[in-house]
Amino acid sequence: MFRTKRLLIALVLVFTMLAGLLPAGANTGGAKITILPIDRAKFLAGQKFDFQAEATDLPGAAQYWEIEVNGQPMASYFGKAEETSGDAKTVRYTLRDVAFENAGPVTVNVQIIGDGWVESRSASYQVVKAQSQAKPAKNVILFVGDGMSLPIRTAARVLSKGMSEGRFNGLLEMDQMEELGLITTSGMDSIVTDSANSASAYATGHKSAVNAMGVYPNSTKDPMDDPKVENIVELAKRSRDMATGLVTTSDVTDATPAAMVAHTRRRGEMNAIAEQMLDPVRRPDVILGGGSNHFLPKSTPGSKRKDDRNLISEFEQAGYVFAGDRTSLAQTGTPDKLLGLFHLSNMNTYIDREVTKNPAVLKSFSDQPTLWEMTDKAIQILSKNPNGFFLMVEGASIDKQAHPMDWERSIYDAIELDKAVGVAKRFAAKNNDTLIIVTADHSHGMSITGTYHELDGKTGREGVRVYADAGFPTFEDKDDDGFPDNPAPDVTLAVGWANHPDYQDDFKFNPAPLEPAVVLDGKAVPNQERDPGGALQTGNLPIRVNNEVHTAEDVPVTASGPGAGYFNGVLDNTELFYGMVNALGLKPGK
Amino acid sequence: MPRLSAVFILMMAVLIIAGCSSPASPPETKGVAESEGSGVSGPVGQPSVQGTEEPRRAASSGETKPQEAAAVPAPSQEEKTPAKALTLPPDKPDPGSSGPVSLKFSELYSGGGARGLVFSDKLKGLAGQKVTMSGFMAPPLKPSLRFFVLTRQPMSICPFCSTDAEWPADIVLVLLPGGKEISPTQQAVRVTGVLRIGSQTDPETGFVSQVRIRADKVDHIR
Repeated sequence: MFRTKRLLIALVLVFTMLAGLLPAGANTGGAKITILPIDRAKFLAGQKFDFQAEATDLPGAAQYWEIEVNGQPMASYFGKAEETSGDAKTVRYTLRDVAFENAGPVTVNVQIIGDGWVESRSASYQVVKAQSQAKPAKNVILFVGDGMSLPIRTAARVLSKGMSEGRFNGLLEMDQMEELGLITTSGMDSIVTDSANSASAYATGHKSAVNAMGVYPNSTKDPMDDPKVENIVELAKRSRDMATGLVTTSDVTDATPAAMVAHTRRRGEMNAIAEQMLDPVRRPDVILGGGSNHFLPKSTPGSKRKDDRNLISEFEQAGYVFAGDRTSLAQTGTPDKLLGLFHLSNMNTYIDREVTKNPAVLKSFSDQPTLWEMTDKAIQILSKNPNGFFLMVEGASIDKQAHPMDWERSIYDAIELDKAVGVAKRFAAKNNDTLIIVTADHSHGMSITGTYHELDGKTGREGVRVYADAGFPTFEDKDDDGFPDNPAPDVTLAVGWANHPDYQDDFKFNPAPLEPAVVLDGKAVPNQERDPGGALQTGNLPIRVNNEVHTAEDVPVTASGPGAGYFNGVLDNTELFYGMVNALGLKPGK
Repeated sequence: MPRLSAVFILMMAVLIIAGCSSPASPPETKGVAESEGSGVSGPVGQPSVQGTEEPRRAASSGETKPQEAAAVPAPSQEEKTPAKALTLPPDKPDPGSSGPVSLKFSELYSGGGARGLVFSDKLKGLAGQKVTMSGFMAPPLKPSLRFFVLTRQPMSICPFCSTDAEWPADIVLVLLPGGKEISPTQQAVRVTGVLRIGSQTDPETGFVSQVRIRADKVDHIR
């Protein structure tokens, strides 16, 4: 009896130990495998990408990978040789420059195997082909009002068109479009996105992380080695030899325009982004905006380069005409290729360029074009290409002035974007073969509370008028240029901010742009130079944050032209890419 | 004793069975992380992924705060003139005077444009000489200040929370005397020292500057 019992126990023990030693079901739980592109990623058939699997916290030394695509070894599935790399902590499997050629579901199973253990993970992908259109779009013009939330669109309509007894006296160009939808903005890493991440979703159809564009972020420190995904500019050039263009009021290397073309984990790598823009696989035919500082050799005063390359000269050698101010832009005619850089860094806001024209603000840059002039020039040049064009136009300082809570500057720049939309609509009306999309990339915590005035002597928060006391603001546009003649009328809007640092606010227009808070010893404190004597607004952000920050709400999208029907309902931000490639019927081959 | 021998035999059996019957046990000769392009077999555990990918942290978490506004320069309408007693400086330094010449931010560059700025004649004339300039200390690149950036207006650039910090073009790098450090301040400061111009890259931080003052003195002026 005892003997039998002992044998049974021993047998159970053996099997238990065997089970522990065999690789079957041997995920230890502590290990972490990351698959890039991420689970649930969607691909355009033929769109190139890099695949990467990373494994960390493994139970022992890893020996080899087994990675299958729909049951077939990945390297043979794609006909490409993999690279493997790693160190004691992390191992990495990379397959560069591959594409799914056929539509349908894809399952990727990843196993990393060591002595007596296996760790595994899988990801499911969806591959789609561009839908065939009864009437495809020849051209796509994407307008991104950076941070142009719904309240900003409303405020732009209030200032530009005015209101009588509760009815708007007119609608914006971006209001008068065929389709209206909502876009969700979150990235793969966070509910709140930045502009690089969100523009990358528009440009590639893939989610990324804050500060990243055209890549899925891996765990290495190197901001240039992350697995890439092909973007709209590269696709338009490679698959149809279309013309491409970028127009912005920021540095042309800043997040939104950069994400249309470039690949990096860190948007601050603007020297490298400028270099990437020179590569013929993604070099836009028209680049207009600010930010020559990343194109000038470091020996030139004003340069922000760390080397002696002169990229303006290199663009000129590649056949580009260069324009450095509004006058020379107007004189360029319609060359095939145009680089226009109108400021060393970000272009000034519309108010500073065209309303106050304060020399102390503009400094050496008193001759900058408007966004609609740049848009018009870009369309004239790009529309020469018989294969059609892709153009991205960004109103950058809508965001850059929402951060310091300078809403008048932000709203005037939203109106400036709207006038550029009008230029595009008039071009599109000629042939009705252009899809126009107008949207934002994320929201801001701005809200219209009512109005503000001091006509009865009340000032500060007592001057904020709510409900019936608010009435209507008294902006006037006597010259009918779409902008209020005076950004500081007797009765202005009262604007509140959902998130902010400690700052002081007198609720009145700032004649020159100033930061709301400055960082002192790691703490953001009110900038005493701005709104001196204004009411202290006690901050509700971490103490080191010195500006208002992006918010996570959906943003509106309006669209017109062939393929506009896609922009209806609630859309994930990656779907904007599919709306564009569907409209174009873009089918990238090998 | 029978118990001990039974355990021993069982242990041996376990080792033997484990040693030869593990189909997925990789050959010893495989290199670390070398890929196995062929075989698909192997008794593996169930796929461990359900639904969404685990959110990933940034490669360097300290650099990922969403923050775009740092690029906004903060120009002012007029220069700060903190010390009323100062007389206006002559266009060229008076050779007979050993006192520092006052230099304003608006006097650094005489123009230029997208192809670059142009040093003013006054700036070029003062190179190598003692000058005094007033402005604001930008937030430090490092907690201890061997040097700091003097700006026309208070800046909110926070190098710890933004990767895309963009300095305005008209800044002055202030190098402190050897061994001396200074605490950051929001107050306006007046810097006195020898002016140097021309592109220079700080070997430690990679910071490229065009205008520098090797300071003897940094005073708070309000």
